[in-house]
Amino acid sequence: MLLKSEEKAKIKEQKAKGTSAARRSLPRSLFTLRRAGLTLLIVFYFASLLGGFLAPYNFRTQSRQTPFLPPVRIHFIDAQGGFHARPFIYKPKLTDPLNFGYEEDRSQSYPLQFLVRGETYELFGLFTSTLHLVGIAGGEAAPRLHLLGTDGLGRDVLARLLYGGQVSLVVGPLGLLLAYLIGVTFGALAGWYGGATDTLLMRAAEVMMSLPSLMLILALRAAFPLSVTPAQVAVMMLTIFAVVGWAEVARLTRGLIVAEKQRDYVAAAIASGAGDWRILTRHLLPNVSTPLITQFAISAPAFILAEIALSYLGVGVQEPSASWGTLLADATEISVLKNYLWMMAPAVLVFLTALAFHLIGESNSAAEARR
Amino acid sequence: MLARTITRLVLKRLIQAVPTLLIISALSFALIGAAPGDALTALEQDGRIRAETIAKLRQEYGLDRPLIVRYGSWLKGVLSGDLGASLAEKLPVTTLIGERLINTLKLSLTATLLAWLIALPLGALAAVRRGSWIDRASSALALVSVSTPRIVLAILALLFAARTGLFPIGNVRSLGAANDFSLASIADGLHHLMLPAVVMSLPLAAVYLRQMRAGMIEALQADFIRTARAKGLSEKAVVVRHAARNALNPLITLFGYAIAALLSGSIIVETVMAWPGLGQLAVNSVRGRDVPVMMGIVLMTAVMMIIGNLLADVLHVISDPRLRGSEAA
Repeated sequence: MLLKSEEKAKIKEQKAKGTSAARRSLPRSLFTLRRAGLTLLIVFYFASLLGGFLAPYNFRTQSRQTPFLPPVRIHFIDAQGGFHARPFIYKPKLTDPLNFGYEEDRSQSYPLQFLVRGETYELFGLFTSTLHLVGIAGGEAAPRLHLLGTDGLGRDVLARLLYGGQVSLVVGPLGLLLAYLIGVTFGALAGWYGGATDTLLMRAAEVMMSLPSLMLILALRAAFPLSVTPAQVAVMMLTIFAVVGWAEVARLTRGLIVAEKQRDYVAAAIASGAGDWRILTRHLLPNVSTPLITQFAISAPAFILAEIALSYLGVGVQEPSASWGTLLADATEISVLKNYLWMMAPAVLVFLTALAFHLIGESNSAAEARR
Repeated sequence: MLARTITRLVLKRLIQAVPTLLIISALSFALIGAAPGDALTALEQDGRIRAETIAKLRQEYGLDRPLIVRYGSWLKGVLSGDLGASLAEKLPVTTLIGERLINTLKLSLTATLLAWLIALPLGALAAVRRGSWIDRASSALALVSVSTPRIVLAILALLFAARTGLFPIGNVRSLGAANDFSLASIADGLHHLMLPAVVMSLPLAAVYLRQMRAGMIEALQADFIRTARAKGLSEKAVVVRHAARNALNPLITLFGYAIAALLSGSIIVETVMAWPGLGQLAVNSVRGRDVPVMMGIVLMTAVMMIIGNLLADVLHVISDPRLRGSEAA
């Protein structure tokens, strides 16, 4: 009997320990924030990658009859008040040619079709397809299903947003990854060997960081020809981001390595005859990886925004390609700002992307601070 | 002691600045010079201009000389205060930059002032009333403005101005408005300045707000606050004179960060909102392949960064007596 109650107390104690430890590791609100951020990003990345399929049209197809068409209204109830399970749209009619005002022509309804064949698009840059999630059957005579409206050339805004995401969401993080490859290597070498290697590398990093990042990016941009093909744009951006980003990463890595190499296990590894390369790659780098990964999530939005900024300023991605930067540039003409609110859609996506990265970054660093 | 530490700090930094500026200018000159095409490439594609004319122009601008010779003559000019002439605007680069620099400084200083005015009282209040609605609201606001990219903020401001017509779009003053110190022209200038300054200041204000709140919370738990309370000082005196003064210290460290953020941000905000500052000029010079202007801006920015960081360190030494006489400074 005595034993039993003792056991019970022990179990109780262990339980209490368990919950308090869990609470210390990560509070609920942080967890929710991180999950919200991750969910948002996963949705954005998937939607962009599947952009050609999700959008009813190719991002480059122009429809000159319907420039600045507002987002199409999807109806369930027809003019007579009858309900339709299959949603439908009406054909737009240009009523104000000066300001591009449209009205619906209610004489005929066009039902939405799912998984229809339509315009050709590329998927993952590997194969082409004509299958779209949703569309309107009926060819040229039928109205077009512009869910987020069209731009000044009648191009589908949704398709351009999703395609632009393939550029804007990918180029920045890829460039940062390159910067990490260089920065971690240099930082680890500087931290491990010290001496002249250290001084030289860190002086170089300091020079890189003596200009504000966007100014440095602009200066580097000037080293490339003004008009570039889409493939060249990608190479150019990756180069610029690697050159701009490595210094900060190198400094962080160096600091972590310098602190970590004082630890006993490093001395033990040296004593057991492990070489420099083995100690760095097998022992030191794995042990400093957590703060490096945390920093990646914190730095990523800045690189995404750098691509958007360059493209906005007209020295990055160029027509007829699209990125969120060029879409923002289209949206900031005064007449567009005044009249066509749906063109602001890229601003919403840019904001949400930055917010999502921030939520992840902040909850990660808060969790780290608690450790 | 204080004066000696500061003198040594300034001297040391100035000596360090020389190689940094040399390396930056040489690197950027090499990079920009190595790029295919120059300021005359656009003219070449224009069929109406003869090849001989372009060759002559190129010779006149000195664009046909080897890179290292061009850098040498540029450097010689810089040492005597001459940054060369803009290829696009036919003006001395110093004149062009000087005019734009004033506009950028006007914008940045107003933004900084606004950020302090918003962040310091709000951050202190949030720390004193921890967990209250004002704390939670300001924290949420800080999170949103820290994560809103400047380009989005600028576009939102533009949208606001275009839709309501309450604010002018672009430029530092209205067309035809006098540029003097009369009341009307000052009001007109402020009207133009307001929106870009708010856009520039919001992300900065969010950073300051968080730092101020954290600093105040830490200070309010310190022993000297208990002492101050025990002495029977009023709550206001405790918070303002003792806690807030200590919480301000780490904010000074952010000074260097703020300068970099403002200079980077000005490129975006000035271009989106058509504010004729240094950032806008930088973008135009990249688009126009105007190497002298580009080089002048790079040099100018590097100098401003060095001065800003030095200023931050000097302020730090003044505000924190522990740093005096130390090698670390």
